Amino acid sequence: MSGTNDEELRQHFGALREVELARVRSFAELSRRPATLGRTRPTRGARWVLAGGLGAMAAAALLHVHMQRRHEATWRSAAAAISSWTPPSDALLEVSDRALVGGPATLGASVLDALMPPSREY
Amino acid sequence: MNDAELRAQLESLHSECFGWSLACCRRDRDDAEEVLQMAYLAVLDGRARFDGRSSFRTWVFGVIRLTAATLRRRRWLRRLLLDRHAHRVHGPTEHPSLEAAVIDRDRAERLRRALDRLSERQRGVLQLVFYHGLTVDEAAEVLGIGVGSARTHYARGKARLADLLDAERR
Repeated sequence: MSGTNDEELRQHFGALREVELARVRSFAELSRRPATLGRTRPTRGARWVLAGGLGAMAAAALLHVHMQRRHEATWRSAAAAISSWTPPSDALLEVSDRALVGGPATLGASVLDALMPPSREY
Repeated sequence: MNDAELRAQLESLHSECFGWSLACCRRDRDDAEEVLQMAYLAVLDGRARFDGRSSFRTWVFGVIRLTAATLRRRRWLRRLLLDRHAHRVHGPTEHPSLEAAVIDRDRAERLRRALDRLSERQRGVLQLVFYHGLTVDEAAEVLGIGVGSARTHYARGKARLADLLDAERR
């Protein structure tokens, strides 16, 4: 069973109130001064950490740009290779139709034999 | 309520507000002043608006509580990021001899120690009721909790506080 009653609690709180509110900075002072969040300020070490962090971020950005450019160059060369590719049958386009149908037809031979490289033999 | 009226209201409650701010900052005077200043500026700049749903005191106490919570969160984040590289600039330290003249100093000290051992909610309700003279319902409003919950915190906190004070006396 507790021996401290409400009245005693009130007296304790009253005492605490008196002690704490004995000196309070004025309202004018506290409502005018600009707020400073936290009373911590970075030391020299913290500045180095910040500078290091910024440097790392810059390096990462440069690396990213470099990688992107390399990627683009690879794509560009691949695209160039595709656009310069020509099918083997293009040779037919450079031959006049007269050369193609000029000679007499022979059994077992084709007019293309003279134009295209020999393929597999059976 | 215009700016002049707001200022007048705040000024009339200034001591009370400081006492509540102290309670929200675990009795740290520097933090309490900082919180109070932030809260005043929030009210005067119109970032916190009084809508008249409760008494002005209850409302402004709520603003102070939320401001203290915000400051605590920011401090925690800052500590997480810069703990090793930041040093705290202390305000003037409280000299015990300054308070020696106060007759009830021992009583206040014992209460401070006992309050430290209560839960945050219990401490808050008891502070608002016994220190600021609010009702439990008003305390619930300030703390943003239900009345039933506030009553429970009040009863349990009071019993525990009485036990702690008794134990200190022995």
